Amino acid sequence: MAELEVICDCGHRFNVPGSLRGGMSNCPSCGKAADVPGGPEKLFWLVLGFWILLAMVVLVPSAGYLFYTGHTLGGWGVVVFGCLLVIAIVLSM
Amino acid sequence: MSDYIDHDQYYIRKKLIKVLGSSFHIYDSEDNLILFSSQKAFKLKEDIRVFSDESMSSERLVVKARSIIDFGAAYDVVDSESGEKLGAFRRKGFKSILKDTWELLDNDDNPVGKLQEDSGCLALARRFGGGLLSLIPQSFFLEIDGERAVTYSQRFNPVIFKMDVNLEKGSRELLDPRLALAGAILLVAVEGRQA
Repeated sequence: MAELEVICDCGHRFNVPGSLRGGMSNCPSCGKAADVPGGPEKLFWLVLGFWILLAMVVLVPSAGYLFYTGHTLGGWGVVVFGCLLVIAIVLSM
Repeated sequence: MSDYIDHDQYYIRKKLIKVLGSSFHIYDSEDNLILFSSQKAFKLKEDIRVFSDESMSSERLVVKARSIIDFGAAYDVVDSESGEKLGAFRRKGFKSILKDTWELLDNDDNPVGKLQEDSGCLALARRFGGGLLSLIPQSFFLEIDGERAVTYSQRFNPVIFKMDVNLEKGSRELLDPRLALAGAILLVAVEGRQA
């Protein structure tokens, strides 16, 4: 695995093995742990984004349709479900 | 180094009922609280902050996942006081399906030890036996160079999760006791959640 360059808070630059991607490594200059760039995984966010988009595409028209046809309770149910989904995603950040 | 690592025996008590999240206490052999941690629910990337007490004013250790996905994830262990990384634990994803297995890594990610469940048969019974068999307490051993350094033994208690941590004689020459505690923290926080 290719090496990664890390820039410590003390300003020192050093290379670490690629396996440390998203983790931490001790700076050879100040001895403190510095963050190694690379995480979190791009694929995960792409998949998550896709599902959120899909949910919105389904939920928003569904709620609109339910309100329009007079099924207010069902409409609010979909709105509450959407809000809970957003809250869960925000809390997990 | 901090005084909380002066002991050879510890025990961990995990609160089973907590709304949104989980927390655990670590006591020394004289029943003094030495470490406390509380984790938020819905956290994608595990970031376990361990404090000296429940006031959470003095941070002692950080155990941080490198990736969001738990399967085969590595967790870096950092001493909060010195800011120095002590090592890391990497979960062996496929092996852990049958028997929980972790690797202890040095600062350059070279394996230096192995943390694994006591017996393959018991591990299978706990996983697939169901019913009362799933209540068999788990034990883990941390071995460095094939030599047993730390024993983690869960107490039989279906209501409260308790685990004893025993550092074997001479283990301090093999590993940093903070890593031994970090192993216990991972077993409680990560393995415990999966159970």
